[in-house]
Amino acid sequence: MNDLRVTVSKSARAIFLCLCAMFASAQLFADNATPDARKIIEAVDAQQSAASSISMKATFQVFDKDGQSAKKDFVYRHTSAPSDSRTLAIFTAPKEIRGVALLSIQQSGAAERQYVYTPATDRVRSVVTQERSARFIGTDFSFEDIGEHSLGDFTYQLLGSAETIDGHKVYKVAATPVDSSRSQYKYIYQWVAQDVPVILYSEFYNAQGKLIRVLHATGLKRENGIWGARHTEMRTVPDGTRTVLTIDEVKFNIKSDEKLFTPEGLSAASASATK
Amino acid sequence: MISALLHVSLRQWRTHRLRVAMTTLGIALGVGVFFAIRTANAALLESLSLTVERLAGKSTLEVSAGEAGFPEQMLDTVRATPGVQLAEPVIQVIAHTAFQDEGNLLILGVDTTGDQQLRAYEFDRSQTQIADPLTYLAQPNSILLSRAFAERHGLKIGDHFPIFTSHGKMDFAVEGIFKPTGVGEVFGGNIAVMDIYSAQVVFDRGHNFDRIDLMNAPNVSVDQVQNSLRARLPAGVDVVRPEVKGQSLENAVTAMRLGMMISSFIALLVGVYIIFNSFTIAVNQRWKEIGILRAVGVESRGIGFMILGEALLMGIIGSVVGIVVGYFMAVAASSVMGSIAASVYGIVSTAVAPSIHPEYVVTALLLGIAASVGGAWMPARAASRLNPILALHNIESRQNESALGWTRGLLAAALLAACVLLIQFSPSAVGMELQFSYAALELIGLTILLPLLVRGAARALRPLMDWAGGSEGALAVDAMIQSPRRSAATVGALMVGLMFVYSTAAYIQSYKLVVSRWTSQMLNSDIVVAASSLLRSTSYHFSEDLGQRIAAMPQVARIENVRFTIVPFNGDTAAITSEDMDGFLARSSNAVIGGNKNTVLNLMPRGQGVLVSRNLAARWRLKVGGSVHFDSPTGPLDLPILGMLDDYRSDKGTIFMDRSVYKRYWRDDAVDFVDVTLKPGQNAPAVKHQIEQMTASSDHALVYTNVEFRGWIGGLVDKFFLLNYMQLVVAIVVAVVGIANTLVISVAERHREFGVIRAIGGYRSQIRKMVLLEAFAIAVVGVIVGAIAALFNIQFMSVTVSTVLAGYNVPFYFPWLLILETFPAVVLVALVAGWFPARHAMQAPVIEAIGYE
Repeated sequence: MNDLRVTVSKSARAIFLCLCAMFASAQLFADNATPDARKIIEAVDAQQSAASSISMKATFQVFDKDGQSAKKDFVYRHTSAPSDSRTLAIFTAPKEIRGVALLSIQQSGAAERQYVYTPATDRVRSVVTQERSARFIGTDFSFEDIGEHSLGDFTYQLLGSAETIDGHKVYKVAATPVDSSRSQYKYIYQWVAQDVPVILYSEFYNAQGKLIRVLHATGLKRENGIWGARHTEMRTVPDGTRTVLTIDEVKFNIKSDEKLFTPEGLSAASASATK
Repeated sequence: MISALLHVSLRQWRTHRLRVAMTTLGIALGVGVFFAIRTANAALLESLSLTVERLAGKSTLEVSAGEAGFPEQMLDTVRATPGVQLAEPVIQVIAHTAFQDEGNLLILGVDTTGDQQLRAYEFDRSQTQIADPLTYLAQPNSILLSRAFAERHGLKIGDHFPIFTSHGKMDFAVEGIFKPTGVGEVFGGNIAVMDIYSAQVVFDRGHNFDRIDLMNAPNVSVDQVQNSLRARLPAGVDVVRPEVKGQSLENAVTAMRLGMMISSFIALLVGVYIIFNSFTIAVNQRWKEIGILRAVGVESRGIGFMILGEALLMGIIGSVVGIVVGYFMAVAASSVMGSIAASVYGIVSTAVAPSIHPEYVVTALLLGIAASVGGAWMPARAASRLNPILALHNIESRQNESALGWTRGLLAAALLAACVLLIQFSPSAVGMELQFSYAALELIGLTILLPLLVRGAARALRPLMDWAGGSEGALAVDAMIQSPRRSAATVGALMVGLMFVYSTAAYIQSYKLVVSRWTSQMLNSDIVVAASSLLRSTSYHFSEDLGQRIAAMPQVARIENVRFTIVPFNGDTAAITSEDMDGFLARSSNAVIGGNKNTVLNLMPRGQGVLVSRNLAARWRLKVGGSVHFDSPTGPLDLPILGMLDDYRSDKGTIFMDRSVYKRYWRDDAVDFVDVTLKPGQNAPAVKHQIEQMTASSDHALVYTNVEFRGWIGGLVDKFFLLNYMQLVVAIVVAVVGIANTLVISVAERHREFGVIRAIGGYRSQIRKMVLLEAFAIAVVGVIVGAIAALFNIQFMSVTVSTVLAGYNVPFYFPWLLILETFPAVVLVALVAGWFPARHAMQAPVIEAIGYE
């Protein structure tokens, strides 16, 4: 029912933040002593500023409750400069969405602006901010899941450090929203690898304390010194649906044409990505 | 004393059950029709209001600029206006699907990324969201359907179905299904939602929006935001509350609602006549009884109260029955009215079951009682003035009736003269209520004159009745000649009904003749390709591409693209017909009235002037040589008036201009009609067939030859007058009930007379013959006085009603042929209505009949 909220321009930032969440510097984990919960999450968060630009090719594969799936391929670019962060995602397949471009502009002191370009109508439109619990472009990620978070938005509690996931020893951390009105979740359990600063597994509980989403990150790889997962699966438990984000190729600190990161440049950005 | 009088009254009722029942039925019918129309009207208005509410959602203001819309850049201005919290653009289209059994689908083009904050869409329980939001945005043929529509056509997510767009027939993919609540309730659930920018493309709206729905910030009043917006937006752009929009929809169906209200008042009026007739007879029958009551000390005032008390009770019973029956009539009437609103006025509505409004119940009850008491007033007055001594001696104490005293005659003549003069010479817009009161003058005058008319008609008829019916025939009309005032009540009900039938039929006929003349002058191309089955398509249009394809056919000499739309004008609205004036004037320059023909031919194609319809000119006191001013979406436009035309497509008036001017100022290149002129010697039906084949798989195009187009216009006129035909049915029903009532009462009154005839050797067949001849006489006299009354009412309808409801006059037309044609039917109805009273009269035992009173 949240569903007409299709503002897809968030996807750029979404992917960026997924990356941020997954690519964290292992350096912060060098200390053998058990850190407190906040420091564990700080280490994950610190990689947000690890690169000034990111370029990647990725795929969303959305599975319905019957196991039927649909794939969406896209290219993703992100630039960040002091007080100006821009993200651009252009879908390349399937043909129904080929050339759809999403742009998000975040400038300090101003509200975030989002734009979408659709080649069939050759129109660029601005879109409004979406409800945080709404699904992001039909995937199992909600806008809150892929949105930017401040460390101060949650309080953290270390619940344990004895579990192992996919061969990695993990810390189990409970993240609880400071302001319950600003989150759809009552709390989130996160399992962070002890050897690399990557969240491997998360459980999301709604306001009634019911498990509604589960995230599982696999295929950890290090690129330009930055760790990250190449496969991230998000399941929506009540609906039986899931989405797999697969990153095929990623590059950091690549110079991009700034004009493409403007509403006026979206048409050209779309054309260049799909030619 | 009161209880004694009540006892007397109730005994009378028991004795004259049939008369009481028929009288009460008269009231019940009048009240029932009145209540039904009121309730159905209210249901229609609730339906319109609910539609506006559902479509407007939570928006507190709407920005619009006529049917053509306005440039989308205005959205930025609106969003930047202080106090505007949320502003969302809308395109509203009634599109044709290719489904055989269901043509229309209301499509709301909205920016779904933000619109849900304004409007409630509830997606199907099995769906948690649009199937694929990216595809929905990216593909212009993506659509969300209401569950009602989807279920009717077995559609599910991922299915495709065809819709006729401005670029031809296009398959749309169902990307979501929403529940039939909120927006989904509108238009019987035949509603769909699509992305607004996709709607712009597929319905050829350029970069225009139809309207912007907005919400004010909580700390800023709606009025403040409205004023701010008005100050920032161009003059032709309207900023109104949604309820005002609802009011404009209500205004659009005013003609229909008024027509129905007139019918209901006529039904009530007939009820008054019936009551009057019934009580007049009752007083005659109870003449001796009243004398006795007066002799035992009942004051004359008490007698009057007794009669009025009976009328009051009858009024209450009749009204209650009428209200109950009226509710069920309202259910049927509201369905018909909703259908007319949709098909004739193109207004989208939501099905609403009629509800019982306490205020209408009270009004109907009071009106029923007032009609009953009012109808009984004169007989009560006569009863209270009876001389008891003469009455006890069985001596007729009342003065012989004169048909008409000279004072009354003068009053009647003065009222009718005033009515005629007011109709003919009063200004065209002095207020609807005042103008409709002319009809009241007419009816009062005719009612006063009625005894004279009855006597005259009866005298004229007597030789024929005597010759054809023998002594029974002469007796049947003698009663009318001797007691014209009493017979006037009998004939009055029939007169009102027939007057209404004749004048409505005359009005329709006159309108059709005028339209026929107009179509031959103005709509005279060889072939017409129309975008809608209505005269005006409010949302579905062709693109200019269709005209180009037709123009490329070797048989075609020329085409003109025509756009017919409604725009804001002088604080109200007016229609614009824009087309290529070169072609139009080549066909129709002789239709131009006034002005210099060369100037018209020279300047109109260059867009340097306009032609205006005469009803627009009359409405705004415009003259050739003057000018018209528009606040178009792109700025002000002033053009000189070069000439006038007759045009019947809009009751607000029509302005003709060259298409280039319209396109430039309204940024609208949509096409509603393509007028096609063929090369000499070409066969129009054959070319029509080719155009149909060419458009069959692509456009929702209705192709007509000139003859067919005129026939189609005639069909539309019939559809427009569907309501009037319903009114005719109501009038006929009340007239029939009036005849039946009159005859039942008349037979009951003459029960003793028939007994005496039988006692002195009269045959049963003679009794039956007398009753049926009386029915015949009533019918003939009714037709005569009905036709005379129709003379006045036709003038009233041709001038006043036509001006108020349609904005123009139609010529006076008297329906001689119709009167002659319907005469046998009226006689037949009268004979059928008289058959049962006749049987009752001839079967009554002689002893009982003689002892009757």
